[in-house]
Amino acid sequence: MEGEVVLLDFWPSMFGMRTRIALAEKQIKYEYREEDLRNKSALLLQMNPVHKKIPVLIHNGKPICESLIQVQYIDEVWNDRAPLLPPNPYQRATARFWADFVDKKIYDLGAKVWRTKGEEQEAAKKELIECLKLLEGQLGDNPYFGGKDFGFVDVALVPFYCWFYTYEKFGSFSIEAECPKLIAWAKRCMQKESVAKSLADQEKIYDFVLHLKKALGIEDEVAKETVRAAETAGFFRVVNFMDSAILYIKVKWGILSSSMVRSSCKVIALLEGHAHQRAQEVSKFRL
Amino acid sequence: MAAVKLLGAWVSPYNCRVICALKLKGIAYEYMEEDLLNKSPLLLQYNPVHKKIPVLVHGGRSICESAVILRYIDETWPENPLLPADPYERAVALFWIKFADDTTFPIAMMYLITGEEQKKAAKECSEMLETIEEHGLVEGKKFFGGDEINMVDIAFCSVAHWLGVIEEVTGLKAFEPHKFPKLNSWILNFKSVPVIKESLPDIETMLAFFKGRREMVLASKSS
Repeated sequence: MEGEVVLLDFWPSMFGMRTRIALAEKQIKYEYREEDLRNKSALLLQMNPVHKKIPVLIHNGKPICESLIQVQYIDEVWNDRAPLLPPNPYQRATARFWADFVDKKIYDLGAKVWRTKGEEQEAAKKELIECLKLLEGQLGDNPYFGGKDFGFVDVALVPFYCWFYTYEKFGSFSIEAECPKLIAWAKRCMQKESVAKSLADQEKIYDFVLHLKKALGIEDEVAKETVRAAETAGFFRVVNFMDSAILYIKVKWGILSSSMVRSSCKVIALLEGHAHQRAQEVSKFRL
Repeated sequence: MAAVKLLGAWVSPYNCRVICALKLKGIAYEYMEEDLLNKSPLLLQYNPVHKKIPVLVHGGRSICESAVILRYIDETWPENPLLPADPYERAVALFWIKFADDTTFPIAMMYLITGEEQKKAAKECSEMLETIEEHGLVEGKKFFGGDEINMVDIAFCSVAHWLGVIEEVTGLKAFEPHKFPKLNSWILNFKSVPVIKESLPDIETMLAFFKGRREMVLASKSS
């Protein structure tokens, strides 16, 4: 029944963790393969050609993409044990709604908390806490979002718990102070082997993000240099620069023609690449 | 059978998805049009988290988010299933429904914004159409669902019906029939299904609505 199960993943990914938890809950044996996201494997590109992202679950050679879809697939195929979705359609709709809410809100807000500063960061913190409080409200007095039992929404949300430490350090705030019941819930989940073994260590995540920020910062500097060079040469006038090392280029003289759009997109792409290559590429884009 | 109500807005493709599903299943429902600039207390009560349409109310309980509503309808009224029975095929269908969810937004964006932001949205839209053409549609299959339409076809109703209107109103072109032959066939097949024809809002009414909105956007940008 099991067949061959492979998971393409990246250790800090909260989305990958969801699938790891589901596989562990169902006690499925699988091969875990770590992807280097800066050098994606041919297998990953072949199995997820649309998004080229992890996690990818491969069952008997066939890929399933998107973490919540993977969790539902696992629940359906291995339906003889540890059910993750409730039996009735209304309860399932409620579970899907809240898992969708986690998807829509928590990742982006959390990313803003560690990536940004000042007003933008404050706004993200505030909204993140509001969302976590809403989730806390949904939990109510139940031990899990699934009610008595660990379920779909628990799987969707609990991986973010190992990222809370990073959000708190960068945002200088305490999630536990604002949402004690939610933290109590997370600690309860961590007592389950499937969760404890699937979540990454919170300090390792923090170190990972520290390194990532440094690398992005350095890339920002190189990108800024390249852009300054381009400006001096009269190619583009830069009006906005975003923290994520993606440059938004605007031309002051009016609407970009389609060739200019292509050029600016190429410049954006090359600014994410190598410095000396960038310098060469920029010289190709005369207005 | 408990009463079914749909709180919606005729101009929304998300709303249209739900109408398509209800009609395909032959489910009787009461439709309540929401004024999105003046949301009713009922909407705020039934969707306190997002305060958006569509909201399905069944036996007094609300279900929100069109993708969640579609699955609820399919599970509660299992005749004429809208998803494949095989778990793998179902996972593939759900992938494309999520893709439709994530990419429908740029289409709406295109009338709201101007200048090179609009160009950027048009480019994203074009890329999205290329992805569907290359990876989503299979040569020789009438619909995403094979010979019969399914939830994936319904999920892409904005591509089938809204895109053309938005393109006409904004003057931008993302879709060209010769560039996207499979998609073009799919659109023609989809729109010729009688239940779908009944469910899609009238083109002229849509054009008038979006042209009006477009004028407001352009006026506010120049003032």
